[in-house]
Amino acid sequence: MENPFERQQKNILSRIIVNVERLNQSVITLNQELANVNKKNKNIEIIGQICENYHNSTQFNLDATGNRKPPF
Amino acid sequence: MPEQEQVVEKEIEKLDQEITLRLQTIDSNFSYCFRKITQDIIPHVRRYSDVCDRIIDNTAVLTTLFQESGNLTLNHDSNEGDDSIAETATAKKTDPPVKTTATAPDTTMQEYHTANITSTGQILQLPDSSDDEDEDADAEDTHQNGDGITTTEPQDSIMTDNTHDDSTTQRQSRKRKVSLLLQQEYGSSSSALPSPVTKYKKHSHSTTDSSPLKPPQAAEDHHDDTNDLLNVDSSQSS
Repeated sequence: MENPFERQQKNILSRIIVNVERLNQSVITLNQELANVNKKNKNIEIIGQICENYHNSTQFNLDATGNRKPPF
Repeated sequence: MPEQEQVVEKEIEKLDQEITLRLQTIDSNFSYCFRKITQDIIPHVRRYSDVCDRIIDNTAVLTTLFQESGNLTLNHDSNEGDDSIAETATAKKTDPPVKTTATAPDTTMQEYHTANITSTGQILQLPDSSDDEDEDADAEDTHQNGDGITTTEPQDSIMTDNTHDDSTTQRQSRKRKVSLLLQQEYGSSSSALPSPVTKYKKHSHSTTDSSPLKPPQAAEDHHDDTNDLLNVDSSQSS
């Protein structure tokens, strides 16, 4: 501890450790939020595919029965 | 020589200064990352999740509509393993038989566990790819439930694989026992049934093949209720 540089370096290193801990915690919360978002997106994706499939099947049905009419 | 030492010392001091400067920049970068994440990114993601929630709330009409039509449960939200979240669309067990006509071929619905309803009133569930065991189980169930009993097995998720082989075999055995009991009660005369019946009876008790030698001896030895229905002809000989 005699050298002033060593003192300063230890000081800066302790601040670095604190910042890294906070950063780690924030990254963990970010990961959780992203996991929630991913789950919701999967649900929405499923709903969208269901709607698309329903649309395709209705179009096929109308084409098969011959009831398909052109748009106005 | 002391000049060299002085030069060396100056170099060391210069290097020390550079080290502290580098450490300072490292610290500032870390703090900058932390600030960016907590102040900008996490709130942005939270706003996005709020919008997604509103979307799901507004499309709840469609979800309930398709759930009721297909006897599904969408958006099951089950955590599996290490935070790998997968939604499951499982099928409920249906009520007593529902007879509906076959709709237009749902070729586009093959990705999901929809209830394909045949004209005979039996509800077959065609699981999608890589579920051959469930297909065989369903095929066996439809053969054995010739009386019009429609029972559907709950399906697993779309995304995950089937890991309930023991439960399916248990269900198969239960259904076979149920079919046996029904045959005993009603003395069914349908053509599809004798084959599963003879499967679980001992071969000596079969009276469809009129072999006069074996059944009388078996009738004397075994006096079960199940044999009384089958060994009608053998009772005359005994």
